Amino acid sequence: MKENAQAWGSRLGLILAMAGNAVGLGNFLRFPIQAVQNGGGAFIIPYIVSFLLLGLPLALIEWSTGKYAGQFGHHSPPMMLGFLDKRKIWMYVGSISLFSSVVISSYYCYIESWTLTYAIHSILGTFTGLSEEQISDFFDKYLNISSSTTGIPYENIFAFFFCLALNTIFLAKGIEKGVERVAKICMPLLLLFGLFLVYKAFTLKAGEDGATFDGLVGINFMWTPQYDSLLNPKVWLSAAGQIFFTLSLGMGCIQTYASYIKKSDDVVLNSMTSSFLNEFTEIIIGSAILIPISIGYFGIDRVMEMCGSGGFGLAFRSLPYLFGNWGSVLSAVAGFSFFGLLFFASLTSTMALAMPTISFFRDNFRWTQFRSAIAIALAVGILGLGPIMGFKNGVFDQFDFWGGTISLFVFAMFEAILFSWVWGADKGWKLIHHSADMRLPIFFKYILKYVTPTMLIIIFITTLIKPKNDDWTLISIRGWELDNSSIIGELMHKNLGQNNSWFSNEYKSDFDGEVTTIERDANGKSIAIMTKSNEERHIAVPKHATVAVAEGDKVSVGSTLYTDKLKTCPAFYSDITRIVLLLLLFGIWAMVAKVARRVNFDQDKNQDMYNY
Amino acid sequence: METSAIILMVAVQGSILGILAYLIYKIINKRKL
Repeated sequence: MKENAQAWGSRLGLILAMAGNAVGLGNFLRFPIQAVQNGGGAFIIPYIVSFLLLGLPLALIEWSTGKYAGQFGHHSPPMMLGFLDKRKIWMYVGSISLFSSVVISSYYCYIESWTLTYAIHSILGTFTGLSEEQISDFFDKYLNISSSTTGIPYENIFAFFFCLALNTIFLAKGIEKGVERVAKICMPLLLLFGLFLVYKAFTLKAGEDGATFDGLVGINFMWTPQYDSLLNPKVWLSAAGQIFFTLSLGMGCIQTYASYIKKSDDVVLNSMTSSFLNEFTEIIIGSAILIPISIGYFGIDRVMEMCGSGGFGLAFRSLPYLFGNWGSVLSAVAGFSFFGLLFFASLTSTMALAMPTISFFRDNFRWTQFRSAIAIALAVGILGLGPIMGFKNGVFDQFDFWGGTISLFVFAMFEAILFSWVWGADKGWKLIHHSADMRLPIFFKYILKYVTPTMLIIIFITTLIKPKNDDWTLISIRGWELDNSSIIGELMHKNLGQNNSWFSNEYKSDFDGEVTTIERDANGKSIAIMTKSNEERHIAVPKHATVAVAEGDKVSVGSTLYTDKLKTCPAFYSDITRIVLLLLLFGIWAMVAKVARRVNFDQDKNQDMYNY
Repeated sequence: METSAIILMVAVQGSILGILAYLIYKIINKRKL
């Protein structure tokens, strides 16, 4: 074994670390929201299908690629993909995962710091006696860098760097003493906290502890199938997307962890166990906390409405208030359990996200684990200031869209094509079963070869050209209006409508209609417009702006609603963020180019112990 | 709870638990934990 080499200490440690990598905020916040928005119980059917046809095959590809390349000292995705096929273009494809993992780390570590802060506040009793509105304001105050909930100046930046330091300390200890040890402590605690909250959700009774409905009402809602939604492509795409995020596919983390296992170690049983452990925490624990407890207090309609703004609102604005109904001791325990669970889930995930880049530095620049961990911490620390300081200007969303969504699909699509077609599914099938403790049915080989790459290509194309509001009936040979979240729509700033310039001193209307009221509130004014489709839209007007319309005025798309001093607009922040992300990607490619000039994979191929 | 919800929940969660238990049994049986 090389001097610089590392390895897993035990099989249990490997499985828990792999499961810890996969189990994250997606299991407890994203999954229940996706299920509610996509037909309740019916969502689970495309979800399971996606798990079998997309999730498990990709996990097997990533595990076996990692194990294979790891035997030759290649522990980072660019080198692994380059190793599978001698054309060096694959190294650049592989480095997309370095880009994703660094970008995701930078905002994921920020969310991790929220969970830690909220866990501490829960224990300290900060939320006791606060109203729902006060707790919602608390979250806004926490996100605002100029205010503080603890008296510590710049507390959210401080908490972010604290979590980053924690990650770095553990990562500097290496695989066995760092990653594995943390997983062995965090995963059992996470399951314990989760099971406690599931018990509380199941036993929540209407009329007790301020609850309006039984917890079972929410569980019934989550699991009642609406079979008509199965015909909607949106539901299938959402299910496939959720499988991607929940198993941490396309990020390079699985390959990197798997590259530290021995040649005689199994891939099939280990990958299946860690994937099913993730499904256990998602389907059994994740589905029975956030939604059932929220519905118990707010009812189905309000929770449906709140789900529209994602899981963060429910978790950070509402749950501490709901726990407050359980008495001072139990609310502290429940709050600590919930946010502690989220913290442990995100800690094991952020550690995994750092490993592809750490391994790249270790293998190719001969850096020590400590030096590599410090380097990635510096990169994440600098990059992370973007989502923190530009949270309200959409920087966070840009990081998530390009680094945390699109690049994952792109990387996984090429990875599956490389494994199943360029390298070959037959060789891949043999590789997966090398030293395996169990065999997979042969039809799985054809899923790997045909179904998984096809599904990934379909997902990529549909994300590129998604029609407005995910309404697939709009698709026509004559063209269709794109959704804001499609890649092309996002590039064109479609979500910003008429207000898509970098600098402006006016705000324009995005719809035709009539001004019904102009009201003054604490933050300025609000213009209410009744659109032609009879929907009332409210436009917030900043304090010192001048309203350019009057009640009863007709407005059309592009009409000026108010004027203000010249300001930078969201499009400015979005485009600057994109430029920064592009520079990061080019920087990574420049590093890879340096390595590509001196690496020679042919030497490894000649000593291929697998005899391919 | 509605019958359809109970059936779906028990079928899905039961399958996940059953398969996970089988996989853990296989690992323990291999005495390589």
